[in-house]
Amino acid sequence: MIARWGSRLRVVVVVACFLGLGWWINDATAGLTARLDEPHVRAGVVGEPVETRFGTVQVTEVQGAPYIVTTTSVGLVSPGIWLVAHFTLEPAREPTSVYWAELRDAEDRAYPLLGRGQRFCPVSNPGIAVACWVAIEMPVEGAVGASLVLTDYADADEVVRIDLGLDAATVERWAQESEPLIMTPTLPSEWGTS
Amino acid sequence: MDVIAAASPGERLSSCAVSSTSPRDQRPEPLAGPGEPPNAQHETPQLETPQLETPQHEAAPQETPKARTPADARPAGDAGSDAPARGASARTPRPKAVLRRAGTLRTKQLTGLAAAAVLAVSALFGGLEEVAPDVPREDPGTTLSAAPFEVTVTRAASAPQLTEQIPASVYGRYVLVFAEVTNTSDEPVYTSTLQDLLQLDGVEGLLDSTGTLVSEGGDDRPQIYHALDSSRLSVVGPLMTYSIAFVWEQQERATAPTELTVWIAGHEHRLSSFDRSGQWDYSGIVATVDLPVAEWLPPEDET
Repeated sequence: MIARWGSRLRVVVVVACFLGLGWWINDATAGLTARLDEPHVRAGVVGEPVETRFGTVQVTEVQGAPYIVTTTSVGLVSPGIWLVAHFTLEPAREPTSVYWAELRDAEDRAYPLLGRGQRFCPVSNPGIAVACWVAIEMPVEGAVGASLVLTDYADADEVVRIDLGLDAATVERWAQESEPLIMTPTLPSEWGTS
Repeated sequence: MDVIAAASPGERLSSCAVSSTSPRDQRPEPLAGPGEPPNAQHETPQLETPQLETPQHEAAPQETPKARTPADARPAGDAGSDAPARGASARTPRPKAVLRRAGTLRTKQLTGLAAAAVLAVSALFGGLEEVAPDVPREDPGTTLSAAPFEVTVTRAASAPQLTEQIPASVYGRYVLVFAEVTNTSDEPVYTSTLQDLLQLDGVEGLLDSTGTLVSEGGDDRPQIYHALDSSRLSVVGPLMTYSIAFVWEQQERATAPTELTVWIAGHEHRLSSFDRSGQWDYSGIVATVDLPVAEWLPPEDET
């Protein structure tokens, strides 16, 4: 009987040791795993085409205001500021769109498109550029030095990160705007059609 | 754009003619009723079990204990190897004898011993310490820390119909609590954590979106609207401050509340041991606020 309990005790100790070892390895390699899980970032700036595996993205214009109106939503008042980025997407190999976007402030805090964020980006065929925009809100202070991250799907392994090049004076001017930005599914203003 | 509640006349923006859309649906998750929030820390009244004293002259005849173990079943005078009957009365049991005896324990006895061991270990970490400390009662307008938020509960109101963006109450009337909420963390915080932030007490006949009474197991969590434009709010970005209307529905035949108590809940950030992803877990009520309930009026009618 004593031998049986001794055997059980040894099994428990061995299992506990292996669990502890696994926990330690998992903990020690957490940083490495997180880095491996991070998507590959294609960095760029406004006005510069950025090539990715899912297509070529070019942010053409950035606007800002505390209040936006879209044709598919109610008017949206931000306690901070809405940043609207117009961009073109030319899919590379298969029909796709930009389904996922977020803003990142200078401290790398994320402001996702989810929730009140607005997006217009129809699916396009490979080789055919389409005009898109996203509108995401963030604190006024966070908009200075903010970046826009875009990709086709939320779990994509490759993202585009565009430095929006916003300075304090520009952000402050936008934050004082009393008129709403009217967002419509049209081409960017520089194309002369909006 | 309709405004549920303008923060101040100076901040009110001009209306803009925009077609309204249905708010995004949110899947309700069943919870316990609001009168007894599931994780609320109550002081449970200690019930004293009455001590029944049996008069000696009425004492029931003692039953002979039934044999429950082979050792118990032994005839009198044969009480086992460690019993004094065999002339070893003064001897201390040897370790081997104790171990041998341990090997004969039955499952129930082992379970009891294990439970006692668990209690003893938990006691080392405070498991037996007194719980349910008093929750502070704060005044309306007091800014409170309830991780991951700072929250200032300002007022309550009720009405059968709110703004154009929000459909009229199907079941009777809305009960609203207004609060300024700031996400003080460095990560976006999502709907479920927001919905757990405030709970109502003292309001009868609350219903969830399916029409189930909260007191009968319906979801007691509110719908969340941005008070300045009546849009659904499902994400609060880091360091963002929103004027939020927490909205519940109350059945028509229930009495409209004239006052209510708001329970403010905190959360604790935990990392998943599986994929190291972070999440905010409910950690309990941090404060309560008593509020009078006024009739809700459109912002232009408010004085």
